[in-house]
Amino acid sequence: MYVVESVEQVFETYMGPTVFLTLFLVCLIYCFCKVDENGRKRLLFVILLSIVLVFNNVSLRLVGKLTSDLTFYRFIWAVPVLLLIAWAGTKSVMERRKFWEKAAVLVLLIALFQGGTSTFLTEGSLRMPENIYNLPGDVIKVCDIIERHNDGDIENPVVAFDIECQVAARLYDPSLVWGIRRKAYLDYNNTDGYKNVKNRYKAEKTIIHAVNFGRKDEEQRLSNALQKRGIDYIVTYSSFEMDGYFAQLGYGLVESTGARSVYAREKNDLEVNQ
Amino acid sequence: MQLAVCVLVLLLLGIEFVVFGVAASRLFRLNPRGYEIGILGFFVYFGMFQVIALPLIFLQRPFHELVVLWLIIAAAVNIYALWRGRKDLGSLLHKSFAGLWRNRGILLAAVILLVLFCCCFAALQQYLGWDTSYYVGTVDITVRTDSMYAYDGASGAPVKSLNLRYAISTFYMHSALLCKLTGISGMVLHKYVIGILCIFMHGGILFAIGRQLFPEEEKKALFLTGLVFVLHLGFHTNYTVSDFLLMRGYEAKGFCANVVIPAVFYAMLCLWKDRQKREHWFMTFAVCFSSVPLSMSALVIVPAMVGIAVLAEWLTKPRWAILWRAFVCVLPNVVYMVLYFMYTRGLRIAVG
Repeated sequence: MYVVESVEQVFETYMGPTVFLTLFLVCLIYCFCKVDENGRKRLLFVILLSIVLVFNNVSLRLVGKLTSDLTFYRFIWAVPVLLLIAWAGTKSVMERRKFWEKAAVLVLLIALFQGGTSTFLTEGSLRMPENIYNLPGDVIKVCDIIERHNDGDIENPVVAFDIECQVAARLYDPSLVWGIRRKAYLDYNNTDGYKNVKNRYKAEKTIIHAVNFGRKDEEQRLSNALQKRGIDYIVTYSSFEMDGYFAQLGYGLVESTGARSVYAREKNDLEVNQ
Repeated sequence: MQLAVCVLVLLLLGIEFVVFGVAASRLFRLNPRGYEIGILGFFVYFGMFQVIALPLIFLQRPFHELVVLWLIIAAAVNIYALWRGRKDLGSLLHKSFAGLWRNRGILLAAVILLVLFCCCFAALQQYLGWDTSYYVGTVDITVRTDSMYAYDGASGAPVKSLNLRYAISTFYMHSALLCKLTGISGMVLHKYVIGILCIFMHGGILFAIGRQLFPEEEKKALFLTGLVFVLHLGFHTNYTVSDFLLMRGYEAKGFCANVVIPAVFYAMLCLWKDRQKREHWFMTFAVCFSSVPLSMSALVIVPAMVGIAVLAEWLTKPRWAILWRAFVCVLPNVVYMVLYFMYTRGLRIAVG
C-alpha cells in the first residue's frame, strides 16, 4: 500500500516500469489517424470527458471520501491499454502480406513485452503445488492438529496464529476463528510500544508480540490478553521455543509440525470457561 | 477426484450460460450473433441469481433456501430454453464447430494453447492475501453455517449487521452454492473453476471485441485475442488487470477488471456502430444490471464508462433518446449506489 497523492501518481504506480502507457498513447494517436471523422469526434469526447469526470484530483478525493483513495486504481481498468496496443499490433502484423514479415513483427512484439522487468514468466513462477488447495503443507498440518485435538469439543475454536499461517488457515478450515483481527495485524504487526495503539487493539498487539515475534517479557499482559480474546489455541514458530512460557500461562504444547508449534488451553481451563 | 468435479462444474457452467443466453434471446425476441450468446447468458445468469439471492440475504433466510430456489429457477430456464430454443441451440452448436473448422490452423492452435497456458499458470499460482482469506472464507463459512453474511468471512466471528460493502454483491453466494452442490471446498472451487472461468470469459469477450473491430476477418479477431494474452503475461505491476487475471482471477475484482469492463467496451463499440439495434441496448443493460452482482468494484466504474461513452456518442450525433436509454441501463447501479451510500451513512440491517 502507498499514500495516494495525485492521479498521475496512481497511473505511475499502476504502470510500473512498463512501456505500456507510452505505447498506449502512441496507439491512441495512430487510432485517431485511422478512424473516420465521427470516430475521431467520439474519441476526442471520450478523452475529454474521462479527464473532466474521472481522471482528475477532485474525483480522486471524492472516491477517497466514499470508499478509499487506495481503490482509485480500479478506474484505470477502464482505460483499454492492452486492447488498444493489441489492436495496433494486430493491424501491424496481420496486414502484412509476406509470412516472414508477419513472423518478424510478431517476434519483435513478443520480445518487447516479455523482455521487460515486469513479466509474470520468471524463474520459479511455475511450480507444482504441494496439495490440491495450493496452500503451504505446514498450515494444513496445523489445522489438522487443532481439529484432532479439539475433536468437536468447541464448535468454533478461537486461534491466535502467526501472520502467515492466519491467512492460509482460513482458506482450509472455516471452523477456526481468528483471535487476532486483520486490522490489528495490518496496523500493529511490529514490536513497538503501545503508545499509538487504539485501546481496542491493545490485547491483540500483545498476542502479536508473542506469536509473531516470540517475545517472552509480557507474561501478565499476555495472560490478560489471551483471556480477553478468548483464545483456545496458539500457533507460533517452533524456533521461538515458547513451550515453557506458554505453559506458565496455561497453554500446553499439543504437537509440533517442525516449523510451527500448536498450543492449547489446558483442559481444566476450557471446562471452567465453558 | 476433486479436479474432475471442477472440470465438470466448469463445463456445466459454460452450458448454463449458453442456455440462459438462448432463453433470454427467445424471451425478448433478440437475434444476437453466435459468439454473443454465451456472453449474454453469463450476464443474464448472474443477474437472475442476484434477483433471487439478494432478498433472501436481506431477509436473513438460511442459505439452503437459496440453493433450492435457484435450482428450481435454473431448471425452469433450462426447460424453457430447450422447449423454445432447441433449434437455436442446435444451430449454435453447428456454427461453433463450423467456425472452429473455418479457422483451423496454426493461429487457432496457438491461441488455444496460450489461453490454456494462462489457465494453468493461474491455477498454479499461490497468492495468499487478506482479501483472499475474506472471500474464500465467506464461501466456506456460508456453506458451514447455512447462513448468508451472518459471519465475518475473514475472522469467522459472528457479525451484528450485514456488511453491505460485500452483501450487495451475490457473487460469493453463487460460489457457495456450487460448493454446497458439489461438496468441494471454497479454495478448490475458486482456484480451479472460478479463476479459469474468468480467463475463458475474458478470452470470449476479447474475441467478440475483435469481431467488432475487424468485422471482415475472424483471424484478426483471433490474433487480437492471443496478443492481449501475451501482453497480460508481461504486465505484472501493482493491481493491474493482468494481476487480477493471472494471480487473483478467482476474486470478484478479477471478474470486474477482465469480464465486466471489457464487456462494457464491447457493448459500447456495438452501440457506436448501430445505436438503434435492440440487441445492443439489451446487452448494455444486461452487463450493467449484472455488474454489481459480479463485483462491488463495478458500482461506479460501469456507470461512469457507460455515461462517458454515451455522452460522447450524443455529442457526436445528438439524439435525446440514447441518453434516456443509457440512464435506464445504469439505473440498477444508481440504486445500489444509493443503498451503499446510506450504508456508509449509518444504515444497518441487523443479523440474527
